[in-house]
Parts: sequence; structure tokens; C-alpha cells
Amino acid sequence: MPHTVPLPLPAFPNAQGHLPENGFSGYRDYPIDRNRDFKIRVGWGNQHMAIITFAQVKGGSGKTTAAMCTVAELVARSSSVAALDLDPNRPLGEFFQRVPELQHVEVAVPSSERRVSALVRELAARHDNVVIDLMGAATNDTQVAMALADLVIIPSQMSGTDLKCGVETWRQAVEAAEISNRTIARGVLLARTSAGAVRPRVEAFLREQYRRVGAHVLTTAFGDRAAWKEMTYSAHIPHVHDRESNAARNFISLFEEMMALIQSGSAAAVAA
Amino acid sequence: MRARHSRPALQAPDLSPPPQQPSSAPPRVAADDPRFAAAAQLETHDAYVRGVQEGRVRVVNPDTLPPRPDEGGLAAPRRRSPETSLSTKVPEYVMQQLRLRYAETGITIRNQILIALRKEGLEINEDDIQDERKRPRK
Repeated sequence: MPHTVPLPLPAFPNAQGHLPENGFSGYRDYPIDRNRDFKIRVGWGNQHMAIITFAQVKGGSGKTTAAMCTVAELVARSSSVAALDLDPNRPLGEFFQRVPELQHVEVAVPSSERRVSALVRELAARHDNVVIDLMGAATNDTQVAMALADLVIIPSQMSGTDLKCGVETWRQAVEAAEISNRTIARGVLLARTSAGAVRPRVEAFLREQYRRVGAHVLTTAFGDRAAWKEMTYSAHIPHVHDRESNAARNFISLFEEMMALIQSGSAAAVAA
Repeated sequence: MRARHSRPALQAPDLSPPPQQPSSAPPRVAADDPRFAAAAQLETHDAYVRGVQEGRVRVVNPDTLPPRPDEGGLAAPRRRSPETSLSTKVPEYVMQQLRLRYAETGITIRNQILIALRKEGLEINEDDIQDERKRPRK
């Protein structure tokens, strides 16, 4: 019998505790009271934990930035989260050490002594969520991390190489779900898109190309903003330090769409 | 002469087992969680070779490369001593060399260090220099 991701929460509230009303279609303007504690508990009930894998067989697509932001958002929502850094440059631990709010986040790195699945199992025993950041290449870890996941996010920029590699990554995720006989929610995240109101022609073109191969593309795109480029230097994370900013709203919207994807099962089913 | 006061009777304490507390929250991860079973299927040497042959694997992460199955089918001896963890920092170029040697020889970083220490005269049993990952899983 195929394993299905448990669905304990109907939807994720926004910073004011209100549930989204209009689906996951781009940005929503949440009134956020600066004086209120914005922390909201994200949970899967007492007995479940979620594994989110960021995968793309091409490097430089935005996996690590998206993984960093996801961990930060989970921390901002008072959720217990750990990370597994399969990128040999080990960017996650180094970045979290520079951000006081994230210094406590446990970051595991692989060793020849432990399998990836064993490492994730250890993290999962202690945390409600595990975020996996893969190396930007088709490695022996790619499908392993996908098979472990409840949600696979495939960041893709606008170039033809990103598209080609994004489709390959999508197909690997489909195969991982088939091998494991499980539903693995998955979605392509368009990264470094224009942050303005007008979407460039190439973004619509890219969405269409992904649709052609049956890949689900997240409605919310990861906008190209200086805040994300500066984040690893400034240790300023918009959705942790300035939730009213446009960059923060962009990522919160994206995060909610990701969480909804986990809850609704496979993105392929959503696309169909 | 003082009157002898009767001493209070000794009362046996309640030695019955404590009432069962309501079961605590179930573990986050069940022993038979299908996510881990599926991933383990893909962490074998055979799955790795298949991935290379079919083009899914084009870059090897030496830290997580599945070990080759034991030739001859003889089970490796088990380590004798209980293990304790050791964490330290080394120069990046040393780590790179250790990883490279692992990729070339299949000798884990742990075992490379133990072998080097034994050469320096530390007492280390041969049985404790085993790659436990090469043991066939039951």
C-alpha cells in the first residue's frame, strides 16, 4: 500500500493566525503587526515529521538559498528543524552560525561512516522537520534524498540549461516516488524571476515548458532581490528580521505554497 | 520513672507499581517508516552502479558512496570494542586527501585515521578496523 503523507493541518495560518482565503496565487498582502510575536507553530501533529529536499542537478539554481530560507522560516514559526548539508562546500552550517536566531539549528554533514538515510533518521528522531540541501550535480545522493522526502523542491532559473536540468531532476523525483511506492509531493520553483509586477515573457515560456513534461511549477516564484543576494554577507534574513518587507512576503507566500504542497500530496496530482 | 509512651505503629508504604502514565507522544519516526526503507534501497552499491550506467549519477560524493559488497561472501569480523565519538577539525586539504583516498581505495576516513595511529604505535585491534557498512544487512 503506498505511503501517503499524513495531513494533520488543514492549512497554514498567516502571521495573524488567519488562513489563506484565495489559494496560493502569488503574493498576498498580510497585515503584520510589528509589535506582535510573529511566531507560529508549524507542525505535523505529535507523531509526524516532514522531510523537505531541495534538488537540482545543475548548480547555482538557488537550492541553498531556498533551503536556508526554509530553515529560517521554520525557526521563525517556532518549529523544530534540522538540516542535512550534502553540498561539499557546507554552506548551511557556516551561514546559520552567523545568524543569532539560527545558531542552534543542527546541521548534519555526511561521513563515510553513516548512510544518508541513517543520518536523516537520527535528525528526524529529534526534530519535526528536516531540510536536505543537495549538491548541484547528479550525484549518488540525489535520488536517496528524494526518496526520503515528503516534498522535493526543484529550483530553476530562466536559462535553457536550468530548464533541461530541472526536467531531468523532476524525472528523477518521479522515479524516486515510483521506486519507493510513495507519494512524494514535488514542485519546480522558478528562482531569480523578476520581482516586479510584470512577469517577463521567458517566465511564462518556462512555465509552459515544464507543463509540457508534466512538471508542476509553484505559482509563487522566488523573486530576484538584493536581499537574497546580500543575505549570506549581511546575515539579515528578510522573513526573520523584517517580515513586512516585500522580500519577506515573497518567501512567506512561497513557504505557504510549499507546505500546502506537502499537505495536498503530489504536485503532479495538483497539476492534473 | 518516665512512663513508657506507646510508639506509633509503623505503616507499610505503598509499594504497588506507579500508575501508568498516559503514553507519551509517539516517536516522530516509526521503525518501519517507508521513507527510510525506500532510501536504503537506493544506497546500495548495486543501485549506485545502476545509476551510473543509466546516467542518473554523473558525480560521486565520496562521503556517501556505497561500499562495494564483500567479495567471497565472508562476513567481516565485528568490531570488538564499543565505540565512542571523536570530533575534531583538520585542515581542509587534509580532509580532501582523506576523501580522495576513500574514493580510490574504499578505506573509510575513520579507518585511515586508525591505521595511521596504529603505525604511530597506538594499540588498535585489527577487528576494530572494520567498515561496518560492508556487513550484509539482515
